[in-house]
Amino acid sequence: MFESSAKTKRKPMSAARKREIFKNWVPMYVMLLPFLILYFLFMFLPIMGGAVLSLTDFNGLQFPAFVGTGNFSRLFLRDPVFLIALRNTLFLALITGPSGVIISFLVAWLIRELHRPLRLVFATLMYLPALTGAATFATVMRFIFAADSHGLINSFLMRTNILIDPINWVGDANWTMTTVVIVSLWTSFGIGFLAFMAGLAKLDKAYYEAAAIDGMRNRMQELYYVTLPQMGPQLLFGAVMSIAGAFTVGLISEQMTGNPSVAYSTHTLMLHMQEVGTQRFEMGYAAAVSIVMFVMMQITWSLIKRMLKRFNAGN
Amino acid sequence: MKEGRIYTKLLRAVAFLLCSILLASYITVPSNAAEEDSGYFTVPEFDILAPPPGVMGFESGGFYDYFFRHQDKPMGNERIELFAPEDMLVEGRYGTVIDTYLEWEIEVAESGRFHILINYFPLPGTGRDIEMRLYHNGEISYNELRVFQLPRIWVDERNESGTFVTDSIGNDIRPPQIERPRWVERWVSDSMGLFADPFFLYLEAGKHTIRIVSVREQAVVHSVVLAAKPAPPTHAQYMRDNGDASFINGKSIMFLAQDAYEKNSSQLAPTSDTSDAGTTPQSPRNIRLNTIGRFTWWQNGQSISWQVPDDVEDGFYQLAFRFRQELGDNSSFSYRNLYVNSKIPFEEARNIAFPFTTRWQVIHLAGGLPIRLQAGDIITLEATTGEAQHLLLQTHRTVRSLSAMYRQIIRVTTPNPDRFRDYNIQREIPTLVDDMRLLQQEVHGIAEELIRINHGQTSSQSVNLDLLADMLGRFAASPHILPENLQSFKTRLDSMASLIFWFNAQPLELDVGFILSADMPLPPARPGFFTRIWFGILRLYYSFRMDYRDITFIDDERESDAALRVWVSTGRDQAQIINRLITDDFTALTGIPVIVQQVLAGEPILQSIMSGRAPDVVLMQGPQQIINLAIRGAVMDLNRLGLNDEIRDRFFPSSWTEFSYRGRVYAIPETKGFNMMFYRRDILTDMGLEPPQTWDEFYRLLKILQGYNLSVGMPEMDAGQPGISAGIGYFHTFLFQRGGSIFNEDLTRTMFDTPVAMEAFEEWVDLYRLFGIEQDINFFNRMRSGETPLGITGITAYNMLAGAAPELAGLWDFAPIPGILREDGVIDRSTSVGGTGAIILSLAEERGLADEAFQFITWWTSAEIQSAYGLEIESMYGVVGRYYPANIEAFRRIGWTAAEEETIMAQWEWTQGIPLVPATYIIARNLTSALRLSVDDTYSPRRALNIFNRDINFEIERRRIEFDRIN
Repeated sequence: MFESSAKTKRKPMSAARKREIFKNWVPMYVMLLPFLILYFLFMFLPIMGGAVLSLTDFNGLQFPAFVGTGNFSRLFLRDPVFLIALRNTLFLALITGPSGVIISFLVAWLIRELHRPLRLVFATLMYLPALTGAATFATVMRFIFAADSHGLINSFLMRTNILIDPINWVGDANWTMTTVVIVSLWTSFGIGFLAFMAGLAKLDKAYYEAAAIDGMRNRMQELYYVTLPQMGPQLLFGAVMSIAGAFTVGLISEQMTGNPSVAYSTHTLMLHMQEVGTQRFEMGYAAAVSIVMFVMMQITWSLIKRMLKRFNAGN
Repeated sequence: MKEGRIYTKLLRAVAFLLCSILLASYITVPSNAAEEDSGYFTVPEFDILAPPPGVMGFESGGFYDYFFRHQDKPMGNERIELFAPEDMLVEGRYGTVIDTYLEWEIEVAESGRFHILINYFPLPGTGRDIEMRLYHNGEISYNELRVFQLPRIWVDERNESGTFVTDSIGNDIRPPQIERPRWVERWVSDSMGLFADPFFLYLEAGKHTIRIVSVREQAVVHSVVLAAKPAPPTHAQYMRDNGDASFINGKSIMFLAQDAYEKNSSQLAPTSDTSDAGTTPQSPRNIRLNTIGRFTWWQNGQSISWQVPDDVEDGFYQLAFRFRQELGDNSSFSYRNLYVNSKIPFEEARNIAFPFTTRWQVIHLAGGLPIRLQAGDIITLEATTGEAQHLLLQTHRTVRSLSAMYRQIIRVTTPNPDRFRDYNIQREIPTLVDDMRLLQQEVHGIAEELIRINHGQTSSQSVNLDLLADMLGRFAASPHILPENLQSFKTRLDSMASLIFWFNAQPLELDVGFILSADMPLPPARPGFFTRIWFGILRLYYSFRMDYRDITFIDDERESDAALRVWVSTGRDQAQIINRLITDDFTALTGIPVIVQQVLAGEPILQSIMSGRAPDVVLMQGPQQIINLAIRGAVMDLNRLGLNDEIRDRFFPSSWTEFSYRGRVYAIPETKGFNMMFYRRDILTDMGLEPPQTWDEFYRLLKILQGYNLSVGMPEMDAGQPGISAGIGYFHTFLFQRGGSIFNEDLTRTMFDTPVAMEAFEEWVDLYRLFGIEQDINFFNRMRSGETPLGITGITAYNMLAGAAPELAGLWDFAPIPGILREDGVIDRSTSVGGTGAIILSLAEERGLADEAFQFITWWTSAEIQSAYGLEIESMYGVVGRYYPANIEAFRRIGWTAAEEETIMAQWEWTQGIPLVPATYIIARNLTSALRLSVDDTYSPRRALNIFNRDINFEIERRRIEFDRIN
């Protein structure tokens, strides 16, 4: 933005100066206005509404009854499903969040080594699952992971004798998590991947030469000391996207294993909120879950920001 | 160093020894699979290696065998007319309605083959085809004579002016099909299109007795004629016979195909093509019914007739049609027979081929050969399998043989063979190689024939067949590769079976017909370029203006406010049927206006109530949704509106259980479904088995089946909802049959901690855990292939088996599920029943329409309306769309045969409803978790049930408190 001037004493503003400020700033706010209105109406107000609802017991028809922190105490103390969901969410968030970013980065880094035409081909192929969207992708995946003994994976494994009986990928509590993790990783090449590809393209070669002169020995060191620091903004971007996605993980789980999944084995916070809200119609409770999710996201976000400060010295 | 060297030497020696042992293990002689003692799977009585009867044969007792036995005998040269008693006079002819039977004694002078012609007049009934049976000398000569169909005559129900009824925004509404019966002469023939000529009887010289019996529906029978069906003349002969007529020049007369004079199937209603500018009549704004046949005119024997317009002088003309045939394959043809006044004019008018085309085309019929026509003649096009007929026959036969061979093979190898095991399959099945070679030739022959009738074009089907033939050849040459390629063999076999469906299907869509003079050119198929562009632009514009969701629209504001609002969550066609029933019957009788709105299934009713735009009545709601609304006081208690015994008695008591809670009744039952046992009669008979009556017999049968590597179908996975089992009905069965129940008396907790429930649960778990029944199968496909010749699943499986498996016709049946034999000799077949109901929202009371709403749902669930609705749905979609009303009387009228109805009622009487509690959803969920965790041995069944039962009761308690608080 503008260079901050030194903190000198300010002269009183002349009319001309006022007009100048007006001409500079107001048009900007006017242009921002539509977005601000929409944001306020569709993001801010509902969030506030959710916060208020979380303090009530609302069943959809009768007027909400105020219960204060009753929902939260029930959530943390008397709801076993919430704890399962919390565990699953953290597990999935860890897998699809950081792992997704790391895998995206590594694959982007590897693809950069190829010739240009091949690079294009592979980049497209990698990004394709994200393009098609989780819902359509899940349809294909559900077919592949069918629990029938004639399902794709099952029949292959049975033919090559790795299995004797078919595995119920989506209906057996021991296997559902594995299935969801595999499918999630597959779709985690999202926009972050593209950002990394772009960022890696614009790296300054001079730094590598300088580092080589200074005694850098191998690609790993190169990666850590030269590449990653320059990728600061992209890492931040990738982290932001993945954090937001990681806590709201649940779509893949829902598509593959249903809501609720068998023995809540792939139940996440998002799904818990949906299930409580749309199946049990306890809106106040669902709002409380969403508030908890919101707080967790905030905490994680500040932690990540602190970690990435190292690579974002300039910002 | 010396020790080092010895040390390495030692290491090397050990490594060498291990490696050689490993290598040697690969060379060991493999064990013979068949000699293993299978212990649990000891197969009693049957020689496991003997081939099942029926391989290489066709269905014994079918017309196929009869045909081949007698096809070389000459046709009879007499015409034997058997007249029925002259009891009734209908439209100028005498006849009688068959009471018990009609019988004649005849004397045949010379031996010969005689076709069978029946002269009948259809009487009103349920609208199904009339079915009869024919005995020759006290016997049924072949299976097809056990039940043969005689179609009815249908026309559209239109306005007086002959136009279609439109809805409020101007769209044409599909007209209901009504009967306009007349005397019909019909040769008894094959409805599947396997045989081009009608059925015949071979009668030797001497005395014979012929008897016909009515199986279903009634008709007035005038006579039965035994004679050789006259063959149509060649066109040259036809021209000579009609030498007195002349060629009329300069005429080009168009008639609309959808304005059919009559049809012989109620599925042949006018259809619409909204996208082509050249279709007549067309509107960019509204849906017009401008074609006929689209998805519905595909079965052999269906025919549509038109009447030649008045301004046609007697003379020779060419017939042409604007048509489209895009529902087949790129290279497939659809065939039609042409009749003029119920006779085929000449040989070339048979098997007229309509090629595949995605764009509308105009072609001459019979290659443009002149046909003599005059005003008033009736032109008929009848769907036929045409050139594909003998192909269809051969494919049927080959598929049966291949399926039997597959079952033979999996008896030895199991459906998922071990690829590292040597099955010695040619020793186990000695005839295998020869059978394979024979079948290879048959399959290849079919492929070649297919290419020939497609005028030399290969298609994906012919390629598939060639691949299958190749595969069979490879198997015959090296049988040992068969086990590891069994899956692909099965896939190819399945796709060949679906060929039967393809050959059978003769789809065709017609727009207009032309009667042309020989000197007139063919009219163009499509309008000019700019016309088409302009049409497209108009359509785009109107797509923003028109709202196609509203079914009813009432103009008067005041009337609209006082109208009853009804939501239905079905397709558009069904919603229109409902709307028509309402307008014609309900509103006409009671004067209460009704607005029907079509919404998506699962549409959030709660949200609609919150926003104040809720309806008064909602149809087709499941119990879960109902209790969700009831718990919040959103549904009215029907007891307060006058629910009396008369209404209650329309349904089984079990139908009401899932809609009542604490003495309040929240819905009137609409549809009901429960489990029944389906089985392949042919496969079980082959093995000498009977469908089981008790669970003991069931387990014994299971053991035998598994000895043949077959299984039983009891699927419990629902791919759409992996977390909720579809097999909870099985648990209910085991529970109820032991005399257990789900809840205690006052519905405050479950009874799952009782020994009875534990035993029932264990039995349910053991089905999958111990007996290895698969949890997730495609029931329909397994029945077709015969891998699960017996299965227990919801009764709606009937629709698929009857409608989508033509090759299984007559081979399958269904029966009540197995039960437990009680001391008094009665078999207890209890099971659960579930379905949908119609509810009235509390909003109706606020609007003052509660009584009207109650009147409406009582009317809707009455026998007349439910059966009318069910019959219309079925006439529109065929048996695939069969409806299962909860109203007992309506159910009887839907059109089951007497035997089927008896079977279903026998099971229905044993059903118990599942009581409703506010926490219903938690039960299915937790039972599923308990089941799955027991099946994979995470917990023992009892422990699993205990754990999840606690959760269920906790939730029930919580919800009950909430319910009491609100209500």
